[in-house]
Amino acid sequence: MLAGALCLIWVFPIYWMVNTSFKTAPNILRTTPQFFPSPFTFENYVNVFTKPNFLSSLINSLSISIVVVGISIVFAFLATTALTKFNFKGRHLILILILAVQMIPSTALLIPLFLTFRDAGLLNSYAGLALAYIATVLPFSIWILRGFFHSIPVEIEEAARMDGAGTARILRSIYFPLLLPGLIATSVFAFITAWNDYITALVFMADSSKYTLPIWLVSFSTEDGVDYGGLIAGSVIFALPVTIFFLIVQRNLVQGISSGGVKG
Amino acid sequence: MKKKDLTTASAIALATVMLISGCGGSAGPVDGNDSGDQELSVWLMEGEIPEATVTSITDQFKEQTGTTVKVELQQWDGINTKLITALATNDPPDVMQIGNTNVPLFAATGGLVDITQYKDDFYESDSWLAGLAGPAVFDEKLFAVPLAGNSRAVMYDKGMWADAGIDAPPTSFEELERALDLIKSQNSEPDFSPMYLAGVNWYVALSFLYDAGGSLAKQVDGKWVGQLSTPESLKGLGQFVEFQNKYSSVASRTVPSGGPDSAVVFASGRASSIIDSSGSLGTVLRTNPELEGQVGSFAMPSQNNPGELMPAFMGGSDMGMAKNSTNKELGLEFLKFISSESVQAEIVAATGASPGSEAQLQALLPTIDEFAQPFWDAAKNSISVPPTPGWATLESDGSPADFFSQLTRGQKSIESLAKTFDDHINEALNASY
Amino acid sequence: MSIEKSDDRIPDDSQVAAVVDQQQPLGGARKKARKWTTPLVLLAPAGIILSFVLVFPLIRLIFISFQDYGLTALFSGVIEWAGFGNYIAIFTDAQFLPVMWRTLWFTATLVLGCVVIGMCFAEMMVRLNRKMLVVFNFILIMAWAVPTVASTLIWRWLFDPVYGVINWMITQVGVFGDFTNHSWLGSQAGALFTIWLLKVWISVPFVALTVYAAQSQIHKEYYEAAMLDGANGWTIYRSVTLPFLRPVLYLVTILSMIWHFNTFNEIWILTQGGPDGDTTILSIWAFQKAFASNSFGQGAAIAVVTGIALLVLTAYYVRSLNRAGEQL
Repeated sequence: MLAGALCLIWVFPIYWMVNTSFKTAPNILRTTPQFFPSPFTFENYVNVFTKPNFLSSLINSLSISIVVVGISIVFAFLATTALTKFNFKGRHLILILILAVQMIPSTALLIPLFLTFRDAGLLNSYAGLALAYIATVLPFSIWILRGFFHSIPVEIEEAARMDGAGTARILRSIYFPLLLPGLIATSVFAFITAWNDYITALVFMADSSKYTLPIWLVSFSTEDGVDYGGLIAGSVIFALPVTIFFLIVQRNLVQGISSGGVKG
Repeated sequence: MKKKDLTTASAIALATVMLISGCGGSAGPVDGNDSGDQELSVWLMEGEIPEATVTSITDQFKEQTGTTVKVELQQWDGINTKLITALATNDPPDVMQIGNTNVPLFAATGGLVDITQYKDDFYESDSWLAGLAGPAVFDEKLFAVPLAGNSRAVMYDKGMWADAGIDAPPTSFEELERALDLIKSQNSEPDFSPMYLAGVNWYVALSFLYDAGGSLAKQVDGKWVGQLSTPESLKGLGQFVEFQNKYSSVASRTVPSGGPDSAVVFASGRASSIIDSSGSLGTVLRTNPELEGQVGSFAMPSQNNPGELMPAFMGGSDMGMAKNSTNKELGLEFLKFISSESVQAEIVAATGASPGSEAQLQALLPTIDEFAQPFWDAAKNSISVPPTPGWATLESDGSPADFFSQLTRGQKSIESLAKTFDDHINEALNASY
Repeated sequence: MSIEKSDDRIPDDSQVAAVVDQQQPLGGARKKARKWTTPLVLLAPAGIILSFVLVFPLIRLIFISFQDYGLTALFSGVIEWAGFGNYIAIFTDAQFLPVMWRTLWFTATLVLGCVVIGMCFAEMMVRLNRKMLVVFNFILIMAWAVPTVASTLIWRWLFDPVYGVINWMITQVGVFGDFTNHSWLGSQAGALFTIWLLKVWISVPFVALTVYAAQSQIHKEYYEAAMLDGANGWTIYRSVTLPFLRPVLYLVTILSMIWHFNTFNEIWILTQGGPDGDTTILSIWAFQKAFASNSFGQGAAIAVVTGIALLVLTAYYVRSLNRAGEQL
């Protein structure tokens, strides 16, 4: 199948990252590439763990991302409920506006955003950074949740109502499970947006103790060139826990849904 | 869910928003007031002055003035964006290290404090190196003081050169070419470079340009005019391309900026020599510890003026004070302190960089090791880029690297590339800011 | 299919009241008031954040686009108005049309690539057994979880002319000739392809996971019914899966469009818009004007023009959606 061949495009760079991360510096720089690291070394990983600010930036990134996920999910859920379950004037306008604000190149928005945060005294604070990420994530989350709200057949709700289920129960036992995949997609997206950002954190945070992981990672790229061993080992460490975490979350939730019998 | 529940949920949500913005709101100003007491916030660049030296310097300053210096190390990547925004806040770092070629950008636009009236208070300010002090002067006013300079010279693998029968560093361009030819004849691997010069390494290319009497741009009636199409410049560019194509691997022509560090290429044995600043010896020895004691150095001999050295690009940094600093008196004290004789000597000893003034450079020259001397020799004849904010535009958009890389690839003629780059220079250097 | 009558899903007023509060029948006046208050309260948290972080800066951006706003203005706070100066500078710039055009087809090919590949992957994931699904999910999420700054640097490493494994492999395969020292980023076609592939690599996981999430919600009975009717694979996909996926696909398309249109990191790190401006799209151009040339006014003008262009495009798209009977 074509998709199988396509998979290689996704597999290879990952394999190559892991492979490179265990190579010694001279072996990384070989014109005839090594497909298995020999000699095998943990040197690059040691460099990562001993590089200054690794732990502080890891903690910063993690806590900011988690806060962003939590708050944006709740706020997006509330807003989406308003936009899909209520029929009021201006609903469409709000939806289009939410879409429109995303269309401005973020690089151009950087200076006005910076000025706004400066005037509000929010620079160099975790809360300010989190706020900026939540705002980036919200429009998207609202749109994607809306899609999932819409894909819930009305008949299910009607049937439940006929059976005498109350609103709270309908929300909990019908909407929530059916929206779960959407909520997961949204939370993964929110997490990765906060986890990934480079330029906003660079501009907003003055103290290096408040830096996030991407800024720390970029420090492997210096004036003299890029330390690919360190960079790649850092990226692996960076991506692995997130990946495993989401994998577990996703699997449990998918199982939960199918065993809940909603799928019929 | 009842209406009440929804409303409560929203109220909690609202409170969270308020809390978040409230927290931030109070956090900012408090931080700002802190620096009103005896604390000075200083930005230094990462990977320049070793940590121990930084601590020693700040300890001394504290002893002298009772002021605690809070140092933040910054990365070179994205530093201009970072400085631009930091300087626009009401709570900027008081004193900051700025790459010499970027100083005009901040000096000309009012980001830095004019310190002209204190110039005589700085140590040996009359003999500051042109490559460092030149960019700090705008409109005849002084905005920053030199921190340290890094000139470029040749680093070579003594063992490899000895194997080819060369035991002493060349003293003329012809001797250099002979040596490189000899090494080339003994190493036939296609990716081996007798002297590795990446096409994007515009700092090195400038040496050839200026050696032939050419230049990047000059000021005519208050307007900057690109000079790459002058006969002298074209000659220099031609000499660079010929030298690069002959002694550096084919791959080095196309390697992108930010590609492999030339020091790593050298340390991995893929090149017998490179042109770099003395600081990269550290990278070489980290990558390949076996080269300890095996790396020699010499200043690049001139191709067009026998007996002289090629002009060398002067990298390095200045220290400036933010216009919005709330601590200008202390900041000024710190500027005087870091450019003082003893602190400069300490920085030089720790980094191998050259000091900010020629007087001190001459005084210290006999004391430094054999390896560092050629870099200091090169510093005496240094190139600095046009001292105007527009130059930062060119560095930011990567056009110098693109230009020299295209030259070495030879797909377009030198004349047409020079013409295009001249146009770009004219536009960038004369833009308003 | 349920999608076609999606209009029904937006409850009318009486239904709204029923959802909110079943026990309490309401009088006409109060009903009208609460029609607004509850959604307003629900929207407030998101609304406040969005106004502060997006709308307010956006208005500021529009102001800046009419100002002579450079570093001097930023540092001194003294700002002069420029009228339409920035817009005139942008529109008369020789780069304007090529950049616009390049941005458009760069976005279009990316959206197409990501959505089609994403759908293929989702369809494949439905068929995978649990173990394979975990492995595949792992790879997709991993590709997504590597920070773009890092994956872009890694891409540069893979495609490095000298040390890159891609050149080596192509040369070994031999079908395309000798790629030793081939510089991918040195030519327009090569650079655009490299960037395109990187963007696809980063973005497909999101599309695939979202589409898969939606696809896993389709009731099995629909397939069973179609199968009983004797439909084959492709027909089932077209008549059952596709209509069900349509809202999610529209959504994914429109969001990808916005994201790809605003591609920045990947291009900036790989080529800085080069060689010779050949990979400069609008977002890069705006950044160059704003931060390399330090003309925030012109950068803002580009952003405003971009925003309007995108708004027109999506408005057209949204309208045709509405005409096709899809609820907005």
